[in-house]
Amino acid sequence: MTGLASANQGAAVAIDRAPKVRFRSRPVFSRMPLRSQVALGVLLVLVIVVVLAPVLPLGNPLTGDLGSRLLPIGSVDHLLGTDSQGRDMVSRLVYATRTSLIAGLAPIIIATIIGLIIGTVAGLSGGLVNTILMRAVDILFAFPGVLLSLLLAITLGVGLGTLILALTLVWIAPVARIAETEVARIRDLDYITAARSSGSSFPGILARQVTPVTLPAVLAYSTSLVGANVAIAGGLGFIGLGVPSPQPELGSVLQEMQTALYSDPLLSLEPVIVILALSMMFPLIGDGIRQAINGRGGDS
Amino acid sequence: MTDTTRRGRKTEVPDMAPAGQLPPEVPLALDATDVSVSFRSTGGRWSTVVDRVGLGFERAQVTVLLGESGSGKTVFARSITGMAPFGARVDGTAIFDDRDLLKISRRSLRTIQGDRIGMVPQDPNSSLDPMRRIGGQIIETLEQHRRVDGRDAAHARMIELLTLVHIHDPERVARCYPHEVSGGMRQRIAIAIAICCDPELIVADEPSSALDASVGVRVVQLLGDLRDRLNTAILFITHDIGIAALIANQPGDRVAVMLSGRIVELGFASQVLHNAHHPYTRALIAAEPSAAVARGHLAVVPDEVRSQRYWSELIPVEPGHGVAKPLEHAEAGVA
Repeated sequence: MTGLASANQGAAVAIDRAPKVRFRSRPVFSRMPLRSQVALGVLLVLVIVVVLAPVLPLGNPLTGDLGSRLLPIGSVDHLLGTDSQGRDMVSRLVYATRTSLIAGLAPIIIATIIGLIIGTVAGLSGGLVNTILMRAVDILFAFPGVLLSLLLAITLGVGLGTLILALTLVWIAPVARIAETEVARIRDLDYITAARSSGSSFPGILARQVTPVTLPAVLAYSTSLVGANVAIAGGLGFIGLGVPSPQPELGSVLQEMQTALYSDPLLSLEPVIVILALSMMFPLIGDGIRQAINGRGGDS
Repeated sequence: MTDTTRRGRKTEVPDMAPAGQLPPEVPLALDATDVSVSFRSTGGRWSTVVDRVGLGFERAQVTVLLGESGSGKTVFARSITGMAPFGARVDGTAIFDDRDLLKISRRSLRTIQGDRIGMVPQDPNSSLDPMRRIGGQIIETLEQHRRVDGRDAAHARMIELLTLVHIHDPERVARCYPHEVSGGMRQRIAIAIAICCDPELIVADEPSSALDASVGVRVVQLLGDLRDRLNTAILFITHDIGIAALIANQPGDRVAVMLSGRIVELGFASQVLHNAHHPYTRALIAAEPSAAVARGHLAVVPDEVRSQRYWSELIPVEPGHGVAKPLEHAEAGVA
């Protein structure tokens, strides 16, 4: 009897204890699964290589030696071979990755910012503003991305800027939807009502209460999108809507290497492998971020 | 359904003076008279959710608003504190410090809400900002209502408040985020925010519903303690008879039973809970699970009570205790 009573008391006291473990003190990286950590590591190495490309001992990616065309993988001085114009494939791929990473990341970053603004404003306003903004997003959603890119390429001319603009327009809609859903979930919670009734302005609530809660989900989603975006950018480059040659871009390099498909298939598959690796890394990183965030607190 | 005048408890139920507890002129913390709340339903018709309800709240007194979900308890409580849901049409008056909370501007309301009227919301998981530390959220309220001077004073007051709601090691809890503490602690932190400016009235909207039973009881007991310490009026909303009896444990405490937007029985807690006259109150008490289990079946509210649409004004049955009688359609004077 006494034992039971003291056990109960112990339980009552335990309720009052704040947890000793501070989850937040562990950084996000250490809470990600191994595959995501590897993906992040590979990406970091790639970014370093690509940023340092001008100072690395690489061949000229734009001009080649016509005497050494389509050298196989493993040739002396050309570790990954050469293309049909005798340009070093290592150098071509590094610079192509550089362009593709820009074409992969820039539209997502811009689309995330714009989509986040549209989605949170629509979600927090509700009513007519929500209807107008989200129906506009629906129209954007319904418009085929390739058609949009074609139209922009025709009106603005082919180039990296056009490519980024077209892809940005493609990705605004899904990001805005995710953000809007997240905000709708929390819009009528008591702490938002409390902020509103204590006189916080609309932008104030957006910045202090809504965005911090919405951001993790949106960022995890956007990170995954980069992978798809790299692949789509490659596809547009392949059909000639990317960066004009001789500037290397993974899609256009792949298109040029088609000529080697029968003579040296491995050589022509090099850009494919890079595209595949790039587009696989980002979803892995995105998943890792999501898991790391969800593993914390859970109900917050 | 005006059961309250400016004179307070004495005239709650007309024409019958209670057995002299308080002097006749007890100032009310909040005096709600003839409050009706309606919403425009689909098709453009107005449906009345709260129908001419009046209640007065004295300091250091608990008023329990008892009723099933959908009876209009929360809508009534939010409306009389100036937090009517969006799109609601609110009639009547709610006098607080000689001002009608239903008429004054949002700006004036802001100086009252959270300062002189505290609110304990139902769900502690959604009432605290998940991205900000607990201490900061308390200090923010203190600073908003200019209750403290300087950082040190705010911090000291915040720690004092956390101690007041029985939180051990308040320094550490203050640095935690809401998700790092238990549901019961979160609700007590919500109470700390509600009482941080020494309010005259606390509105507690089912503060124990989102918690498991034992933790809920502790939270309710805490609110009961604070009523004495802070001399605060408490409007306590619940659907649980047991919780109602737990919080309304002093002679002056009252219970109002709400059904379909009307108050159908009002009296001191002992009168309503032990000597219920209204068939709905009786059915509610009989439907308490513990009693039902003993008899081997669950009691339900009889259909003829639930489907009764018109109820009279409260008719006194004993001092301080009034009960509404069912009315025929014609008697109700409704077109």
